[in-house]
Parts: sequence; structure tokens; C-alpha cells
Amino acid sequence: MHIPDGLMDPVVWVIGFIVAVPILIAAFKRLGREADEDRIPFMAVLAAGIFVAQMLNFPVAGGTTGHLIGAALAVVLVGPAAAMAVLTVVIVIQSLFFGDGGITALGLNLLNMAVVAPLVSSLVYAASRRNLKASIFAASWLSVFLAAFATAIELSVSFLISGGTYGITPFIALPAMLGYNAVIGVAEGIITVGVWAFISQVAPEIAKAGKEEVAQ
Amino acid sequence: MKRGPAVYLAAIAVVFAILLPLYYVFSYGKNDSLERTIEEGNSNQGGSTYNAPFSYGGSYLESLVFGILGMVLVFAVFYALFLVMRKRRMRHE
Repeated sequence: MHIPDGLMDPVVWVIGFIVAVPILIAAFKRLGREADEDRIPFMAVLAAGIFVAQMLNFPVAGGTTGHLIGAALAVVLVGPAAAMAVLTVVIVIQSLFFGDGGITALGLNLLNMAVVAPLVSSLVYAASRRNLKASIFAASWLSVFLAAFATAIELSVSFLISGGTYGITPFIALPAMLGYNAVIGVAEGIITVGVWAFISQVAPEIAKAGKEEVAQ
Repeated sequence: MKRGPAVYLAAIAVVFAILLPLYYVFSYGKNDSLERTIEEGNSNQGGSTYNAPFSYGGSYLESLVFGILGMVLVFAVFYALFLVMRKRRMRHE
């Protein structure tokens, strides 16, 4: 889901930076102010794990592949502000060092995967009362689906304001992005619940701290 | 964390090394959802405005090396950012 350079209208990718950067600065400030220092090594390991997980695309349907975003996993383990910081570091390094996602599109990639996906995940997870596994699955699926929806909207707006020079017509962008990512979201949900269940067994204090962070 | 971060990073690297062949068997060279949407929309992707120093590689060994390099880089940058933030916080207090 990493947007490359040259796909989006300049107005759209500039707006991506304008929206994403202040939110992420606020997340980093909150992390610096409130984070428990003992949890920082875990957050850094989590960021490293999400980086390699995003490299491992899995087959979806019809020759298409998808990969974990990891936003919901980060939210349930370290809370929303730390999750945003984790994903920001992952996405910036992917773009700057590995060419995965464009430089001009960095603001939009951050907006979709480091802002929208963690926010959606934390809202769903915070609302959960009973079945934690079901709410983590729902948070994961919705985070992927709404990040894809945001990408589809950006593609559509780029197409409409540029007269077709950039982006993709909404008649293709919306059904294609939402269709593929509805399936990818199921895999994201299964992986997230699996990893969360494993960590809850071997280190229950991490899962508990994550839930408390989301509740704040 | 009960053990040092290096132990967990090593564990992630081992899991990555085990799962990477599956990626090469089932997913390598296939488009992801956005690439597929671009293909279906017949969109002109334009050119890259920046050449990154590394890539994810084109073979198991290359991907393994670059994956571990990226993993270490992400870990180090996240940790370094936190140290900078802590230093700033201590200066303000």
C-alpha cells in the first residue's frame, strides 16, 4: 500500500504532509513526555519486527499480494501515540533507505498507515468491553480497510483535480482498493490476534500495559 | 523486557529467515493491492524522484541481508529518537 512518486497530484501529496506531520509531531511529543522508559526497548523491537513483517507479502487472490500494516498490533501492544511513532520510523526508513514508497508521497503514506490506521485501531480497541480477540480482529480489519479507503480517495481526488494526469478514476480506485484490502484485512486480523495472543501468554504485562495506554 | 533487545531482534531475524522462502514461492514478483489498482486504472506511475541506497533484494540471501539491515536500522533510529526526546525533556525540567 506504499504510494510511489509521481502517482498523486502535487496538491494532494502536499496536503498529505500538512495533515500528517503535525499529528505525528504531537504523537512523538506525547511519547517523549509520558512514555515509560522501560518500554522503549520493546517499542523499538516492535518497530523492527513490523519492518520485516511488511517485507513479507502474502498472496491474496487473483495474483495479488498484501502485507501486514501492523498498526493494530502496535496499538494493542504499546498504545496509539507510540504506535504512530513506531509506524512513522518504519515508513520513513522504508522510503529513504529502501525506496519502498515515494519521497513526495511520504506524507500520504504516513497519513494512511501511521495516522489513519492507528487511530481507527485505537478507537475500535478502546470501545471493546468483552471479547478482546474479536475487537482486535475488528480493529485490524478496519485499520487496513480505512487506510485503503483513504488511499483510494487520494487517488480519486488526484485524478479529478488533475483532469486524469495523476491518480486513478474513482470508478476503479475505490472498488479495487477496497476489494483487495477487504481480504488483506482478514489476514491482518488473523496475524494480529495470533501475535497478541502469543504475547499475552508469554508476557501478559505487555498486553495489559497496551490496553491501559489505549484506555487513556 | 526480561531479556536484552538483541535476543528479541535475533529471534525476529530467525522467524524472518524461516518465512522468507514462502514469500519467494508465493508472492515474489506479484503486484500488491495498490500496484494492481494502478495496473487496472492504466495509470502512468511517473518516475522516481529519489534513488534509495538499498532495495529489498531479488534473491533470498539479498532480502535476508537487507531485511536484517533494515530491522537494525529501524531499531537504532527509534531508540536514538527516544534518547533525543529524553535529553530535551531533561533540559526543560
